[in-house]
Order: sequence, then C-alpha cells, then structure tokens
Amino acid sequence: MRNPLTSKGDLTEFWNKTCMTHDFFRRPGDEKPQTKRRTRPRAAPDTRTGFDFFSPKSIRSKLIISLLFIFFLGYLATLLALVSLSHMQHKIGLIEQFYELNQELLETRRYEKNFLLYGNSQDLTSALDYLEGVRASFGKLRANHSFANLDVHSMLPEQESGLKEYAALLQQLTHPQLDPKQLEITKDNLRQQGHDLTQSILEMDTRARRTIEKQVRRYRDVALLILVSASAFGAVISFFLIRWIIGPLQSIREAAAKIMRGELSTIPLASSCRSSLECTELVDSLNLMLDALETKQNQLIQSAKLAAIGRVTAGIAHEINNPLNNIYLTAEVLLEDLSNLEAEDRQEMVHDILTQADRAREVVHHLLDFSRSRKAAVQEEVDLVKLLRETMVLLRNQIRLGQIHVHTDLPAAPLPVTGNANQLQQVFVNIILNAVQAMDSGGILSLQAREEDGKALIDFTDTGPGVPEEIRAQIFDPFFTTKSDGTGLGLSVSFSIIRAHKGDIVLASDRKTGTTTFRVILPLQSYEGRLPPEMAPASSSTW
Amino acid sequence: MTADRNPPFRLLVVDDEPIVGKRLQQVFSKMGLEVEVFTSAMPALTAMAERPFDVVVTDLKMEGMDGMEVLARVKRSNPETRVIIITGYAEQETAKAAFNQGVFDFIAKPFRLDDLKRVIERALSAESADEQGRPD
Repeated sequence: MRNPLTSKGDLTEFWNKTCMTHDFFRRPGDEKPQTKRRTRPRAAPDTRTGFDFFSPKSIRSKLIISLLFIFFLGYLATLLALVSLSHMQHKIGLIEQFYELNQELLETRRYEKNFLLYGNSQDLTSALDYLEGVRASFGKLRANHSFANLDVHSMLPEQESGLKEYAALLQQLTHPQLDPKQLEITKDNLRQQGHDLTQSILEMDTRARRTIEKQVRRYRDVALLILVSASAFGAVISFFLIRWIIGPLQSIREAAAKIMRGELSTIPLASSCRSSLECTELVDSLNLMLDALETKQNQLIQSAKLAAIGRVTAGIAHEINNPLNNIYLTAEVLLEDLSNLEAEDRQEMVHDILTQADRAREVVHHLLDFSRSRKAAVQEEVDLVKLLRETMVLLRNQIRLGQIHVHTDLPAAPLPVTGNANQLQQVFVNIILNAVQAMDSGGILSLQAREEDGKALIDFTDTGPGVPEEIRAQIFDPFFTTKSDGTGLGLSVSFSIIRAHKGDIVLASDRKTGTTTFRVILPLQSYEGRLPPEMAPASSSTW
Repeated sequence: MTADRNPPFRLLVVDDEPIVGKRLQQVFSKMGLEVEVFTSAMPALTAMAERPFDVVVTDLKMEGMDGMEVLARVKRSNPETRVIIITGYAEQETAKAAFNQGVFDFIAKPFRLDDLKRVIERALSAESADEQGRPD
C-alpha cells in the first residue's frame, strides 16, 4: 500500500528530480542532496598539468587539424597548378619551335620551287641557307625535354635522315656539270623528298599539338577533380565542425532552457559535449556558476526571511510580553496573598500561569520554526490547510495590531502538496504581511483555500488600496519595493519558491470591491500519491 | 497609601488580556480603590462618561480602539484623569506621541506589580495634591 514516494530516500530523489531541482533553494549550510549531481569530477583548468594542445577531444585541435587539412589541399592544388603551368609553358615553347621549323622549311621549299621553276642557282644557295635553319631547329627540338617526352619523338631520326637526303640532293644540284637527264631525275627526287619532309613535319606538328591538347585537358581534369574533392571535403569538414562546435553549444542551450523551466538543476554532460574538452570545461564552469547562484539564492531567501521576521517584531514582542506580563502579575499576586486566597483561586492562578507560559512557548516555537533554516532540499507532504492555520497563529498578533479582521475559509479536508513546509510558510508570511501593511488603517483579510483541477488555490484578499497598474509587472522583481524600509525581496523570493514548487502566484485587483488578491496556485499531490493519514511523515507533526 | 480616603479613588483598567484586569482588580481593590475592569475600549469609555475615574490604566494595542485613542478621549472629556499606558511593544515614537498627548506614564510589559503600584500611587498623590491645591 505504501506509495512509491513515502520513504525518505525516495522522496529526496523524487524531489531532486522533479520539484526542487532547485536545490536552487538549498541553503549554504545544507548538505548536498544524496543524488550524485556531477557525473564526472570537475576539471580545474588552471591546476591541470600541461594542457593537451592536440588532444583529439578539444575543439581547438579539431579546428587546427581541419584547417591544416584544408591548407594542405590548397597547397596541393597550387603546387599542381604551378607544375601544370610550367608544363604548359614548355609546350608553348615547343609549339613555337614547331612553328619556327615549319617556317624555315617552307622558306627552304619556296626557294626550292623558285630554283625548279627558274633554275636560278642563287635560289639554291638561299634554300641551303634556310635548310641550315631547319637543321638548327631540329637541333633545338632534340635538345627540348618536352619534345623528348612526346611520342612523335620517334619520328625525328627518320626526318633527320630525310633532311640529310634532301640536303644532299640540293647539294648535288649546285654542281653545274650534271647532265640534263640526271638533273631532271635529281629535281624530281628533290621535289619528292621536299614534299615527304614537309608532310612528315606537318604530321609531327599535328600529332604533337594533339598530344599537347590532350595533356592540357588532363591538367584541366585534375584541377576540376581537386576542386570537386575540395568542395566535398569542405562540406564534410564543415558538417563535422558544426556538429563538434554547435552541437555541444546547442545541448548547453537546451539544458539552460530546462533549468529555467525548473526541469534540471545542473547542465548534464551531453554525449555531444563529452567529445569536446572545451565543452566539458564550459559545462563544468556553468555548473560551478549555477552552484554559486544557488548559494546566493539561498542567502537571498534567508535574508528575505530575516526581513520578514523583522516585520513581525511588534507582533512577536506583544505575543511574548503579554503572557510574560500575565505570569508576572499572577505570580506576584499569588505570592502576596498566598495565605489569604482560597484554594480554588490559587489553583486558578497557577493554571493561568501555566496557560500563559504555554502561550509564550508556542510563539517562540513558531518563530523558531519559521526562522530556522531547515534543509531546503527536504521535501515532504505538506498540508496547506494546516500550514495556513499555523501561519495565522504566527502572525495572529501582528494582524490584530494592525486592526485587521480575518475571514478564513479553509476546507476541512487537507490540501496535501509535496514541498518544503518552511519555504511555503515563508511565502504565506510574506503575502499576509504585505496585506497587513497595505491596510495601515485596518481592514479585512480574507483567506480562502480550495481545490480545483488537482491544484490548490489559496487566495489572500485584502481591502487595502491595491497594487497600481503601472507597478504590477514589477512587484515580483527582486529589490523592487514601494516601502521605504522594504528590502524588495519578499515577493520575489516568494515567487521563486512557488515556481520551484511548480506553482504560480497571480495578482488580481478588483476595483469594484476594492480588493486585492494574491492567489497562490500549487499542484496537489495526486490522490493515488497521497499518504493515508497514519503514514503522514512525522516531520509535519512538529508544527 | 493615598487610597484611604472617602470616597475611594476610582481606577479603570482597559486591557484585552483578561488576566491583567483580573489581577489588577484583585490588587487594587484590596488597597481600597474602586476598580473597574474592561477588555475593550468602547464599554470603558461608556463607563467613564457615566462617572469619571481618577486613574485610567490602558493597554496600547487593542482591537477596535487603541490606547492612544482612549488617551485622547479621556483627556478631552476629563483632563484631570491620569492616564497610564501599558504596552507589550514600546516604540519610542509611540511613547513620545503619548507624552505629547498628556499621558501620565508609559509602562512596557512585562512590568512588576510594584512598578505599576508606584506609578499609580504617584498619579493618585498628584491627584490629591491637585485637589488640595485647588481653591474651593
């Protein structure tokens, strides 16, 4: 029958998981909740020996490696382009040499034709001169490395022998003593040889050009390949960089949002984050900051509570001095008249003394209970009805002193919530004291609690002047106050306490009836989750 | 004590703590004073209107009407009456205001019975002195 939340350990865990993720509201002195909040030891960056610069886990090294890779690709592409350019330069030089060779040969052939047509031996000499040029061009080609790499290189010896033959034929024709028949044959041979040579060189030129064009295309293809692969690598690297850098940040952002919604108390080390040194460090730092904030928040709550106690001084003083005074008076009268008093009167007076002592004790007890900084992480089943009654006892005299009448409309059945009684009472005290202060010349404070849709609604309605429209948005802000002696912490701390309990505080002013209502909404324990009365935690009976 | 006179001095006690009235009535009746006790201001003022009192002991903070108001009304209707205020929480400003309004004394709770007795005696002797010094 015991529900799963009854054991203290379970409750604590449940609390840590759900409501008081706010150990936000743990006080500085409180021990840490039992659940291990940090899964890995905190890395203290400054004490670590030797930062692992190229740790594969750090974003820095990932960036460096990626950039190096990109740089390497760029370097490779540039190198390739340079090599290609120098090759191209050589090829262009080669083409020029072919052109030169062609020109020389064409000149030679032109003089050859002139000689054949006009028989002028002067032309023959010029042809021979140009042939020298052709031979020199051949020499240059032979010396050219680029040419040596072309397959047309194999045609060179044949052409050179052709050239030699052609030169020999020209040489023969320079001898004037040739007989006409022989001359004709030689002329035919020369013509044929010249033609063959021209054809061969043209063919070599064409083939070489084609080869060069093919090579140029190959260079272009390689460049394109590098471009495409660089783009692909770039895309892959960008994708991973974004995952490595943005992924962890994203997880931190999501955790921060969850913390704001109260679903988490610390930023968990997401798997995307664990792979990055910087991220784990950032998460650790943020968690340290959250710890510090939490401590500050606890200090703030405690300050606000002390301020609230300060505000009830008059009431408390009355509440203690009056019974003390009654005890003094009764004891003194008893002492003076002991012998003259009837037994019945004496009994009544002693009874008065005891009652008044009880009264003073009760006040001190309530005050201490309220001011004690109980473990904030402690959460228990709290009956709001009971807590409200106790709060009214604590503030009874303060309310009476303010000439305020109280109308209470509390249900007979308990309104159980899971939470921290001490903090919830702090909220009630703050709201009631605000109402009392708002009604400085007396008024009516209505206190109504009821259950609605699984929620407890507690309305604190006063007949004070109300909250002006223009400051309504600010009244829950820290340090916002309209009182000269106020700290501005009461409502803001109340608000954060109620939010930590997954509840809400709503302010409503009714101009018609001239009333102001602070409504505290808290989620009730589900019916199944409620403890049978005999199993209610003992802690709540301390009230 | 100055209480032995005829007619007896009249003492009024207003305190919303019933024990205060009960005990003071016990003590001062025995001393020969005529004591009337109230736990709220309105009936006390009605009683005062019927027949004035020599000394009024009033609590400061009470529901309905507080001690300052009682003081003001008494001083208005019967300036001769000595008003002594007793309070569970004495603030300097309230005390100052009370003296400005002519309170005879301002006593913080808890007080010893002897202290109150002395103050009331002083009030009564001042009263008698006034009476004696008053031309017929």
